[in-house]
Amino acid sequence: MIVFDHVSKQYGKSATLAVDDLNMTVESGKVFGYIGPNGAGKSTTIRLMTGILAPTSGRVVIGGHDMAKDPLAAKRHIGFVPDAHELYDRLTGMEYLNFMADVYQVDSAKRKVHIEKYLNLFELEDAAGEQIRSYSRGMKQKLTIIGALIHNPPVWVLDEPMVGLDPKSSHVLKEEMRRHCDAGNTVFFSTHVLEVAEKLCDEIAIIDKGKVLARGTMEELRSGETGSSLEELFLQLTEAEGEDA
Amino acid sequence: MRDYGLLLGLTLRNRLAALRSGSWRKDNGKIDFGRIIGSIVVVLSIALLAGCIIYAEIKLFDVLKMLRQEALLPAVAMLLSMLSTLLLSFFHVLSGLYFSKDTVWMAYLPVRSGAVMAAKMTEVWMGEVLFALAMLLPVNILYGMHLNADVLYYVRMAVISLLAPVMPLCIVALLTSLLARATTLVRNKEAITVVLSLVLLVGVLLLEGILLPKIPDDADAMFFVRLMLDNEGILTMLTSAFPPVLWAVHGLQGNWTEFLLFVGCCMACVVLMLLLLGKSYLGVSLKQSEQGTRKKHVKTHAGTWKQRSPLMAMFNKEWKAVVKSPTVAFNCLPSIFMFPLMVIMFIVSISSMMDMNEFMGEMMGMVEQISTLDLALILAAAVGFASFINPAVATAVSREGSRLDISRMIPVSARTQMTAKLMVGMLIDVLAVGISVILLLVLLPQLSGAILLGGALALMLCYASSAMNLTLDAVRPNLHWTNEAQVVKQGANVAFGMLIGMALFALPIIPPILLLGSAPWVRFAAAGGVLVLEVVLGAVLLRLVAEKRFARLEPTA
Repeated sequence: MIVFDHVSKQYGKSATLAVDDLNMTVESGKVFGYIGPNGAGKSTTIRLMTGILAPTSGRVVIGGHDMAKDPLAAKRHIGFVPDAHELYDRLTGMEYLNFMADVYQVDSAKRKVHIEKYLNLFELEDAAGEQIRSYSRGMKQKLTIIGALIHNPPVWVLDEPMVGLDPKSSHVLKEEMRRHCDAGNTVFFSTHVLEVAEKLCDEIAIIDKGKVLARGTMEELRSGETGSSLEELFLQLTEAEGEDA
Repeated sequence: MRDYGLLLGLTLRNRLAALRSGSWRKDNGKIDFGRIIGSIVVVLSIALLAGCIIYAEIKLFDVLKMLRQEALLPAVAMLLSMLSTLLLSFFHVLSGLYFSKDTVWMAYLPVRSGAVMAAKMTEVWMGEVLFALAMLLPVNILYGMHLNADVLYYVRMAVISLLAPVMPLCIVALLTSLLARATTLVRNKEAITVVLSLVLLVGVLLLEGILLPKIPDDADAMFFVRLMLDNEGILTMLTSAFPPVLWAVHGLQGNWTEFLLFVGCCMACVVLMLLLLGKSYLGVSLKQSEQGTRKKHVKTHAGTWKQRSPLMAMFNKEWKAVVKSPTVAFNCLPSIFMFPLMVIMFIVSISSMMDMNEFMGEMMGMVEQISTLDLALILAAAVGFASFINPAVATAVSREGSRLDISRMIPVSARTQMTAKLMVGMLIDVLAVGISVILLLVLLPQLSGAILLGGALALMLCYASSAMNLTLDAVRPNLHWTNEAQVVKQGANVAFGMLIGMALFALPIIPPILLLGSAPWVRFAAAGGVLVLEVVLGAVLLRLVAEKRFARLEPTA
């Protein structure tokens, strides 16, 4: 479970808040989609959730652990797939995965099973012995996905996960997200691909200018607005917000 | 020319961004007094160092004046400046031209390859010229004052000082280009780069050794008399293999023809470099970012799945980041071989002059006059001096760069991460001190007690220096860089870390000097006491400052 308790984030002296009084709970066993225009605050929310940034006010609680008070316990509950791939370029794929397994304290037997399973699933076995700097963007994306899943995290966070993936890998990832959720875990992801969010998510939040404009299941979102597709809803909400501002 | 101007402007704006007023403020808009005070301390430390150098130069100039060899001072400074640029800029040029993150971005801009190379070489020159100016300006101003020179002297001086690194940089650009072209042919580029760089550097050193002037074997007393009586004798001999140095000195003295010869030679080198390398530069540089793959199924064994503690995982990752990058490895690992190399060179030069057994006998006779404790202090100073400079630890936080996100996201405490960084620094120090101690034990087994004690003291100095260097880098890291050389070679933290190390090195030496009349154990206790205080201070700073600052480090949006 993820709890955002009146979380705000201000960068430097910026007049606006990147995240403005975010107050929501994401339950376990759900795929939660987080959508919004560029610069809406999606990545900042995710960076606050994963402990990369500290909130200006409010608190983030992951699996019952406050990220500010008990960051290590909170981080152990998370597997994170970032949107940028600033990895340790000179490590091989296998060295990186073992590094992630070590920091998440995954024992030898479990890591062997996980790494072999996911390398096979994402067709990365042949590249695992190569340095990461030789990888394509998609291969780096797959490697970070495997690294994030290495400890079977109760909360799986993905920032724009479909970018760079080929159709087959994208399909495998979506199936894996659903399977992870069905096992009782939470999947929280941001995306610009509204079709993916519409089909995959149990719950969706639309964010713009740091504020959550709407939140709920597709049916709940549809009931309050005139649009029928997520794309229409998204455009209505974000344009209305732009006009209000 | 327009492309070059645009790219250079971009580089300059990027480099000078740190000086903008906003950089002196914290994220919350308040003035960052810590940063300002830190910068003032850096400037004062550099000024202090410069003051010491200028003082030494004035004293040397007084001696040369007595010998009527005043022109030797600017000549020696010029020669040293050019030779040190030739050696020390190698990895700067290599990483600036061929391992820079922005090369791919520049490759798809509609700019000519030669313009990109010229802009990058100008950036390298800007880094190297500061060192050249520091070496040349005080000397040349002293010389100008001695000559009662006019304004034109100082104009010529400025031009010559600014152009001093140009020729060595062009030579280095040519060598690194050959190296980069050779490595495009192999799959494992970085390992080959490391090995070939070493071979090239040894080659350059040998060439310098061959070209540097030597006293003829058949030199008699009259040879030296003639040399001393001739105002230009030593100068001509010294610069015989490097005519541009002689042109520069004569140019300084007012010979416009030789001044223009020097300037023209520098310009010709630049044009030649761009003509030879400019057109193909981008292609060769981009090939460095290509990584061939074997596409073989990865082989696993029981050890592949071995679980390590988070501390060992972080240490392993840090160590690989140091040894697998040519730029980082060549700036961070030389201290391991510094002392053994100095000892070997000393032995070689002694053995060419006298019988080694005779020398060892004489030396042991002298050493026997010194108590074991004093000897331990001397050895600690020698080994410690060659080992305490450690850019690996002074840049451990800065080298995270944009990967700081990973450090912030993983469930490993700031203490563990900082301990791993310190362990990597200490491993380098332990290797440096360990190899030195083993070499000394082999050469001087009779002094094993003093050697081991000296090694232990040297390690204490290294720990204190590493802990304080790491603290400094956690307090003021540079996380925004485009190539690793900007952090490990040009980073202010490396320079400031060296100053801290020098201070830590000097402090324990003072009490034994003040207590020269006391018993050896008193001197040893005084030096050891200061070292213990340094170690405690380092550990406290690491725990109370470094770890907290690292935990609070936040990547920018």
